Amino acid sequence: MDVTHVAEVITPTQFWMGCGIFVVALVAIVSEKIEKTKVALFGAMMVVISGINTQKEVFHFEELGVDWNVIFLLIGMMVIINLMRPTGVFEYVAVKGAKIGKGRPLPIMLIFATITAISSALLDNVTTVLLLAPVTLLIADALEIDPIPFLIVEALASNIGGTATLIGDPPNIMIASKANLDFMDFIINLAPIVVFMTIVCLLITKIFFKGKLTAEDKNIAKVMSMDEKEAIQDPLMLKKSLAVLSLVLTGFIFHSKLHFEPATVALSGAALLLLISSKVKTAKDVHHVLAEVEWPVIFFFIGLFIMVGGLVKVGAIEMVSQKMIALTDGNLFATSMILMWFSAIASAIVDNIPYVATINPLIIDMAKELWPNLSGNELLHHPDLMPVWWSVALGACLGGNGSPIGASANVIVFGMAEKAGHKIGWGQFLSYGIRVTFWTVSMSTLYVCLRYYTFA
Amino acid sequence: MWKPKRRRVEIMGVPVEKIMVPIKMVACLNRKMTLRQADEIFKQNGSTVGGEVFPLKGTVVLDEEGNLIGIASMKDILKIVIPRYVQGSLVGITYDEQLEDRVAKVWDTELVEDIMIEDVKVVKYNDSIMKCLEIMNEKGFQRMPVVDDEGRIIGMIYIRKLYEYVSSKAPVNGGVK
Repeated sequence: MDVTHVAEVITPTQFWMGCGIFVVALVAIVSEKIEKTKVALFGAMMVVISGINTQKEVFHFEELGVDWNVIFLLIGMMVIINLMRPTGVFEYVAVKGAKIGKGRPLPIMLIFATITAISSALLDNVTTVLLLAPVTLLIADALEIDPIPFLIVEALASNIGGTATLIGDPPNIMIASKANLDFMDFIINLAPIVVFMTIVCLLITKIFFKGKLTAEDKNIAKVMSMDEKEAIQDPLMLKKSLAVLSLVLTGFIFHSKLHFEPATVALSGAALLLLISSKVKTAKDVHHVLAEVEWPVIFFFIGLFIMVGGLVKVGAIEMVSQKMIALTDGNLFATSMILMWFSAIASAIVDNIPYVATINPLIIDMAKELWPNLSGNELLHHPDLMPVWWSVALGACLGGNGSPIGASANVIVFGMAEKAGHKIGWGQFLSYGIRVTFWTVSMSTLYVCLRYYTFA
Repeated sequence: MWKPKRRRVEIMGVPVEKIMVPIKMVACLNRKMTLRQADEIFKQNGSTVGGEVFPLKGTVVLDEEGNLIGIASMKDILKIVIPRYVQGSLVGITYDEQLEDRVAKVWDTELVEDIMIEDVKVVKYNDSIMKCLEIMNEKGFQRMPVVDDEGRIIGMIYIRKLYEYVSSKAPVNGGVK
């Protein structure tokens, strides 16, 4: 749907209303006075009631409303993970990892960070830390050491790892859908730098903590006395879910060749696992599994998409994108550098989901201004535009490490630590978080410069 | 203006007051006691059967003025020994001496106020024994504070006391009339 022609019928009242709804909602979300899902949903319905967009537009045109590909990809993955979680596979891997590390603190820290990074790339960050944090606390108790550095390192690793793939972090899911990028595009363009950054961060962690983490031999023996097999609750379901997960990951790798959207792959996996799960039989079981989907997150996305659709319709996005082109004089190298750092800082301060939801249409509009004759993938995948997408993805995902509230994984780790009696201070997190954000975004900047501009 | 004369009518059956243990006979805890001190109170006030000591299983927590502020039991002490992060598939993954470590950690540091249940369900002195029986069965309680009209604690009712009362009401001769 072409947006520019719509702008003609927009009255100034509607323009200010569209912007007003968005700004008021954004302030309410950032202030955290009212739960963000309530704000987003109310704002979204105001967009429809005030007549900026019709219900048909918000439900059926992804430029103006809900991006169902994002919604159902999230739901599909959540269902798969909810079915997989009780099998105990995560706890098994973690305890096994601790024993491979011979029960010594530093190797355990590095192994846990690696597990977190890989798991966050393939699943979601929140689930990963939610399952790994309790194991970390258990191991730290056995070793009689402070778990806080471990937990912080895990939160940071999960945000870095999540950057690597399409499904790793919500900003990537949103960018992939808007820019029509597939799973392999992310693997080819983002995974190399993420792997490199992870290795560098592990090395720095190793040097930084060398000699600082010590445990007594008798406590190390305690870790070695743990039996990871105790974690496995349901071996049959474990095999089934690992099989489905492998199918889903294979499906992601080939989704564009097979002409399937990622949401189709995820939902198919979810449906298959529901069908073959021995634990889900009655309507009540199905209800239970589906009720565990993070509905507040889903409705937050729905609300945001509709509100941003309002901004698109009233022409606010178009206006800002013209300003941005004027600012950088149409120089996309400058644009991508500015966007990378701006995204990182913005994501550290506010939730990166509303940020990316807003920046996506802005980039598309900018592309339309620059290449008015192109459309579809020719426009979205214009060689000059691609680095901009990758810069936003890197900035928005890695920026999450910049503050305790920058990413959901950080918030979870803070909550779990406090519940277990180990309160993490903001300063404590920031002393690691800001540095890691700065290093990783700097490495990303260098990567984008070299790969897409110097050697392009 | 005519007012109905207030009088207590025993239409609700036998009041719980009749079988409660008066508060001055009850060993109580205060909120700043450690688990070790609470444990001593439990042991000192238990009963001895055949030479074996059965500690008190739980009791009320009172403030300096004798007001009811909570209730704590053996179960609450046992619960605190389980680390708070243990959940889901982590249940069962233990290590050597984990229990000893946990007990050593909590015994002198955790206070009664950390483990007590603050939202205490109470019965009034004139509530019927049947009502009391229903509540304790429904909630699985072993003991419940009894309060007066102003909500001040005046005694305790125990499942054992209820049982004694119930069994004393059993008809003789197997109910054959």
